[in-house]
Amino acid sequence: MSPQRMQQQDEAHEDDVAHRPIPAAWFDVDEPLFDRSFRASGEAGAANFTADELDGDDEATRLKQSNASSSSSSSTAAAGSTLLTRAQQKELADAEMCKQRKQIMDRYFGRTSAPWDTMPDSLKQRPVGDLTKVLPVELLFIIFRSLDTQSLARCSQVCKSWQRLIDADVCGLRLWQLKQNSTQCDREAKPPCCLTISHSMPRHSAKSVYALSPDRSSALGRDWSAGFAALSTAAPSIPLPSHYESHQPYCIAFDRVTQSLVNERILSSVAPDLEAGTETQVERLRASALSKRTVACIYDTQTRWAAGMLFSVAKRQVSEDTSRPQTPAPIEHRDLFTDDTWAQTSCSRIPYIGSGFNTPEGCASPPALLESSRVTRPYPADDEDVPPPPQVRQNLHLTLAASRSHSSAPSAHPPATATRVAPPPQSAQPSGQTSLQLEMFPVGASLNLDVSVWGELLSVF
Amino acid sequence: MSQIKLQSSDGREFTVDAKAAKMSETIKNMLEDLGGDGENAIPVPNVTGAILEKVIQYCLHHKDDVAKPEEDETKAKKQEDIDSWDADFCRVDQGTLFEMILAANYLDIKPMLDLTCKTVANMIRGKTPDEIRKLFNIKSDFSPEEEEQVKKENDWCEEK
Repeated sequence: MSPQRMQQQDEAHEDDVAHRPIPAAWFDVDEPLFDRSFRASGEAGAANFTADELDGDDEATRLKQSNASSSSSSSTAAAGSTLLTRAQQKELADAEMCKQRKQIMDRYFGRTSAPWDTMPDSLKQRPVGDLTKVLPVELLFIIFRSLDTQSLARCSQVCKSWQRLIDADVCGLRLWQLKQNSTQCDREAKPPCCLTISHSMPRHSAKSVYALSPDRSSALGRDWSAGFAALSTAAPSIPLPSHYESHQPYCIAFDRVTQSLVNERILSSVAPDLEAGTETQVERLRASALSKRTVACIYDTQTRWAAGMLFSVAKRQVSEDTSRPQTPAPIEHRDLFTDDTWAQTSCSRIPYIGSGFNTPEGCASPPALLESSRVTRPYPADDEDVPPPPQVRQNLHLTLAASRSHSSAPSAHPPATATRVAPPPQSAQPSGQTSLQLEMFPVGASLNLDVSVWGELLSVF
Repeated sequence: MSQIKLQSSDGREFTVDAKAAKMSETIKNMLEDLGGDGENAIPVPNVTGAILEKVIQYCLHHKDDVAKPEEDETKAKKQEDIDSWDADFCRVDQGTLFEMILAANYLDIKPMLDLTCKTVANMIRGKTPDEIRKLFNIKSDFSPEEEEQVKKENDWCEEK
């Protein structure tokens, strides 16, 4: 039985049992349940309270008479009290107390469970074994959220119901995973590797940025280095009050990077305006060149931090080696927020407000700067959409001040992208400075890319 | 009122230290609402005597625990977070463990719920799909092709 089906049955059962009364045997009205002091102090209030609720009841009628007479005047109260003997009043009060108690019990137990003796045998004899058939979904999620990515992946291979369950909770699991990664990042005092969005958007608008944290135990690094990664972004789930801007998800593909080819092909390109669920070819993605929606990434070759997201066709396939352009790998684009068929994407989402780099919460230590990375255009154009080779190659030198503290103030430059980088290797540039070489696309490609890595952009050549 | 009585679904009555019983938010709230006198047993339907006994055992052991600050839910929950008493406490058969999870959830005893869920997660962690199936007596309903496909999809996170 599917978890959804089970849940429906559970809900139906809860609805059913919600209206079942607690057995009267539990609330023997002949037996006083509350002690005398309680009754003595709360008798009048209790009587007034229950009289309204027990309309139609004989005892309530009598009680109403008593209340009415007691509230009119002292003289009528005295007269009213004569209607019931003291013993009768006591009995009445006890009965009302019992009814109150029953109501309270109903409130606590009626909605959450049925009395054991009224429960169907099928529920009494819960099957033991497959926990998805024993435990409600919300408890299963608690269990699954305690698992690491690898265990989750294995769980999803157990059977279809487990797979559905894990996939169904993909958002929660992913977010949790991400938070966990962020915490690890904090513990290790290492900044995450972040992707930010270059976007021609008003400053101080907000977007969601997905980033991988430097969880080295994750297989992401390996997958990343083995092939493509793709990123899909979406508007934040909670729109900010001003300058909120939604957009279609889009994608970036990252080229294969190997240790021996440190400076090769870090950034592929972006296909703007891709719709979720569509497929495209990696080569075509590249061909679409950079746009204003450029997504930039920094890849650290030493730690193998990777920015991006693993996925492609069939949810999370790392594409094939793309060093052979004749065998392009398809990439399916999905919107992370709206497509919950993704599973176990170990990426994080950090707020991106305005231009500049925003560190995720809990990762306060500023990152070291990238020593040198070369972002090149990946492959020769083999597609009609590919812009012609640049007449003049422009090298964009971004000199960054390592000692500068991060400022969230918008850059003086228009649409900006910020990237986060990795610790500098030994062969770093002179202390306090680092450079990022970007091989720009033709001028017409509107490469609006600048870098503010925990500092300000000092100069752009 | 230092002692209260709880009555399990099968009619067994347990007299419990009130402080321990109030580890259950459900019982605590109910006592506040009822102004209980400690003489009348509070029925705990859906929890059998055997499980309620375990619940009480847990509550008695942890009743004096200092309330920890709200644990960051993002914090990795690791096996070493379970102390030895708790580990022994959870060394029960699967059926009992699941019933304990349900009881902890029903009675709203969060530390116990966390503990029992973590125990189940630890049972799963590190096992292959086959081992998990065997552990929980699950029969795979994947066709060979589907199994191959799902294995391929998840291959990326396997250590190689």
